[in-house]
Amino acid sequence: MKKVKTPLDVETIGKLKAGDFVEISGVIYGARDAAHKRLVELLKKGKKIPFDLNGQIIYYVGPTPTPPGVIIGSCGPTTSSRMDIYTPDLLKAGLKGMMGKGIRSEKVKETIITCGAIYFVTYGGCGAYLSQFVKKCEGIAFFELGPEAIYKINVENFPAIVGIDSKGRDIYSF
Amino acid sequence: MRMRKIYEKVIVEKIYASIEKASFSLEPQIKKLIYDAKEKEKNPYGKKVLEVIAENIKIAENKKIPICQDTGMIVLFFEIGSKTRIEFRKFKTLQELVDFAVKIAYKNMYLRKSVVYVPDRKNTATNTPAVLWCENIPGDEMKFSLMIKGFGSENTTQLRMFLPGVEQNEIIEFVAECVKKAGPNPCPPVFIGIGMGGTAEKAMYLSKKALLDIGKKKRWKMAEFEQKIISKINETGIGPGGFGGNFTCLDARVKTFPTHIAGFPVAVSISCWAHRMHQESI
Repeated sequence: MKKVKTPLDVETIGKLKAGDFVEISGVIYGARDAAHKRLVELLKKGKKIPFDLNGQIIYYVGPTPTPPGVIIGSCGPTTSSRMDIYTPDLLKAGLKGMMGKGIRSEKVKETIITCGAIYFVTYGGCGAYLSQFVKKCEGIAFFELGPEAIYKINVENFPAIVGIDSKGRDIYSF
Repeated sequence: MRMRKIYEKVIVEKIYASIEKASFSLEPQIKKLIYDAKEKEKNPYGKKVLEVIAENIKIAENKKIPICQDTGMIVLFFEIGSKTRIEFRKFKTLQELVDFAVKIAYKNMYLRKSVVYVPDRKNTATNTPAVLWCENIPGDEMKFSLMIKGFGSENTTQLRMFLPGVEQNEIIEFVAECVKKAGPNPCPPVFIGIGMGGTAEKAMYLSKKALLDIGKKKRWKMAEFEQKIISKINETGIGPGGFGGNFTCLDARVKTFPTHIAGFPVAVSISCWAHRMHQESI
């Protein structure tokens, strides 16, 4: 088990290999389809986006609404491949990590290598379990998208596996 | 003919209760398949995934947290006895009644509203409309099966219009190929529903309906074919979470319908391991 702290640095990323079990602590950003579309549109127009991408991890998640008195609802990963068309632009803008479930495109894999980034996968359908590792969660942008808003999520020892490492090794092709 | 009256309130309450059951717990027959696989899985990654899944099921039940954040679209299969009559007062149609129940359930239970209008993709904000299917059955009973269908698995649905002379093993190959192509995306270990025959849309409908039989007693007529499908899929080694393992598919069920001399439609519906459903009789 390897401990990972956010924001990610080159050294941490370099030490991680596809298939490694990790525990992530720090801030991660939750965003999925519609939020990605908007982020990339803003970047292409040269506009400011709602958070600093540098060294950050985007978690592909759309949690269930938070009931009163709890930190977050169910918050498991969604299918990453739908984000493939947006990911290279985000990586080029400084994003260092992604977390979701499933295979990525060749283009994403190439960009992961050239940008020295990393792709984590976590347990699909296990949103109740994963919610136990969230210490704080707040919506920060695109609220009108409802479950597709961008969330700032504080996690502690959030369990994941390295899906694609910075050398392009892929857990799904083992 | 004497008709049995069924009141709106009863149906609304049963649907509401079914959504609650299916959102926070799995049916015993589904859990049994998962727990058995957890004991038998040899691959360390696959085993770990099944252990986390078991833990997730426990936390969801005990803390009342939705099993999965994708609280899906509601698919409802009604079987309405020909000797029943719904006493419509507040609602004009069954669809309206169902959508009312879904709307309040999703609001009160803090379930994710994932349904958007097409083509503009604006969220309907209520997780309605539900996908509603009605069949007519003999008798004075009304039954329904409710499914919470997530789209990680729904996006991997396939239909193929085979030639009439297709061999059984070609169909088995096709189903295994669908699962292989889907890979980790539908959250394996998966459950497979197969619809064979009818027209294209009938085959699709049957494949979804076949998922309702998962984990239940097998019908001898199809049991062997279903077992062959399961074995073929498990040969892929995709495994739990797609990280490798012996268990990629935990059960497969087939439903058939006569078809045309010129064709053989085969539809494959895939459900994630979190196969959330509930059945009720009124």
